[in-house]
Amino acid sequence: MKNQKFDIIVIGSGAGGALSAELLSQSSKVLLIEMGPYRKTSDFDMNEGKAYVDLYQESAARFTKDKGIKVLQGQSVGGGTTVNWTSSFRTPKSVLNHWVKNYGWSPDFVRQIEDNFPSIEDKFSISPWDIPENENNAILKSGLKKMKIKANIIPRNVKDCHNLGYCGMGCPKGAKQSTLVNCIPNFLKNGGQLLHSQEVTSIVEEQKVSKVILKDGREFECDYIFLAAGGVGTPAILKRSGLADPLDLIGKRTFLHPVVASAAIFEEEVNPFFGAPQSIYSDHFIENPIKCGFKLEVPPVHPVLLSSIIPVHGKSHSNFINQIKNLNAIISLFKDGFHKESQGGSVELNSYGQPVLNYPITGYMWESFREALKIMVEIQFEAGAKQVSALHKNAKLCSSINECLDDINKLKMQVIDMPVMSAHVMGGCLMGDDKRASVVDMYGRVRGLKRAYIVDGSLFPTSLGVNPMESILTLSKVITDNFMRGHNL
Amino acid sequence: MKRRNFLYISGFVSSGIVSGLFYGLGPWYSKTDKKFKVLSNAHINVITLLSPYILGISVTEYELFKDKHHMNIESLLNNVSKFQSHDLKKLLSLLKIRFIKNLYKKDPEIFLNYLKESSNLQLKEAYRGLIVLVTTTWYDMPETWEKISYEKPEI
Repeated sequence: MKNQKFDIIVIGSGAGGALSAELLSQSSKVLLIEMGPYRKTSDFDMNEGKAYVDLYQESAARFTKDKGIKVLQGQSVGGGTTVNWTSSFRTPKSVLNHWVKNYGWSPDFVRQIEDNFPSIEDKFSISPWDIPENENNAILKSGLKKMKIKANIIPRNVKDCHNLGYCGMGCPKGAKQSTLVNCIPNFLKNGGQLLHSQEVTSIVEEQKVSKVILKDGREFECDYIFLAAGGVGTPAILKRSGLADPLDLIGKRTFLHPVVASAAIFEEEVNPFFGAPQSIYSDHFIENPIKCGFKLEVPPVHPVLLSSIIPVHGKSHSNFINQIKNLNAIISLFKDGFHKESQGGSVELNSYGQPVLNYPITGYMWESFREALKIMVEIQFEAGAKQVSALHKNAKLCSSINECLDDINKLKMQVIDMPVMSAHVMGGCLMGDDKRASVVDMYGRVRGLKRAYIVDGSLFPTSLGVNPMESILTLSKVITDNFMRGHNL
Repeated sequence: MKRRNFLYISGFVSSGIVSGLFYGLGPWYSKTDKKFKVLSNAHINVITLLSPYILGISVTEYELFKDKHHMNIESLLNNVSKFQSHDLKKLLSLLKIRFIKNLYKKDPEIFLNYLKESSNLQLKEAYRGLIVLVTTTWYDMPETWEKISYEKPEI
């Protein structure tokens, strides 16, 4: 590979990067660089601890600057698609319209996106899960039904799924249509070259050639660079590259879909670790004029993940863990970025040059979390829970809805006391038509550079209110198609 | 907890003296046990003392898988980034401050509740850090799954 020059170098092999690399490799000499390791389907052994260290950014222990939000992000070949829970949604129409109205996205571009959803769904085998939901999801469905709230079935990107429940540790059957099993083999077949376990520190654009510089000092030359290192990685690379940013836009407006959770103990077995992790959701509370709207889903509950979010020690801790078989958890995923008190966070660099996410949680968000907790515990009691607790350091395990609501009303909402999580980092390199307000133009090209494009979730002007994989795949396809057409590739 | 002692600890932690103190006690990597590159015997002693209280299990039960648990923590410390490692070292160094040491040696439960109820941000971080460090490395061990009735499917 030494001294080779490439037509295009793609940085990041998650949803955006791997699909783009696959398409570009049909007609160009492409190098795909991934920061994480290359792991095959046969390497995935459903071992939680190993998976978190091996397949997640910062060993699954990435936190926001004030330690307020734990951020789970994939880091191996396939990126987040290797470890996500397979929930696949189209970008909501209302969100696309919001971007047209507020961020200068053209109706034609949005139409292109919408036209591409079916082909993406076909390629990645995305369809509503037609097997009965596991008990963890059934509890959400049952509680919602009793409250006369609509529940929907989640579309998943799987083919011949074995319904195991270990998607977050890498699918041991290769059923999940991650970019690892879907795009990378085609990319390699097309002659693409993959360099894994290599961190890109910066990019340079010279008059005739672009360069990608690795942490170990190696440099690779190319004509074009496609950045797809995600909502944290892409702004960090641009910042380390010293790109002129007079309006201080790079790494700003980062959104996380902050998540809070409640846990319930049931008389009957729930086995929240078995079966498709997410198959039921509700958007009943997604639009809220006063508080931040949220989506209701459930997480898969395995011991390491559970123990990392129970915020107390001793018997209170073991009480949950010992009853994991009878435990149900519900999560609220907040649609941040649509209110003046929800303007997201920013990506900064620490003294090691590593990215740090600064995401202060506003009072508006804390009170929105409290409202969601009240709704989640009500759903759990309606579904027949014996005992329910908000996941908060001072929350009690309550035996009645009134006791629980009273308890939640008293909770002090503040960082660390209340575990807040995120598995979706979006924004940071806003795409738009106004050069004074966006990092990237409507062709996906980085402003101030002639030959650098971005094809990942950092382009989103707000969060989505849905799990972002399908939106990233589609946006990446549209930008890559437009690039190839524009360059007669 | 007397207010004077609380202020004493808070002051130590928030002034950033913690890491300085720790490093002053001797090089991080000076070990007496060859099995470990990161954890010292002092760290292992404090982990052994606090873990049953954090996990909510008996000392006898903890003793069963104690050695593997220590190895798991060592392995985690070897795998985290420089940035996180700095945070974890700060956490472990906190446990070496004499007053803190006296407190948890006297009564680990009172010590943990003290951290839990503290309004000092760094002590709150320490509380959460300890829980996550101890519990995730414990429940990562298949030996602990039978008790909680967790099992992986056969594939």
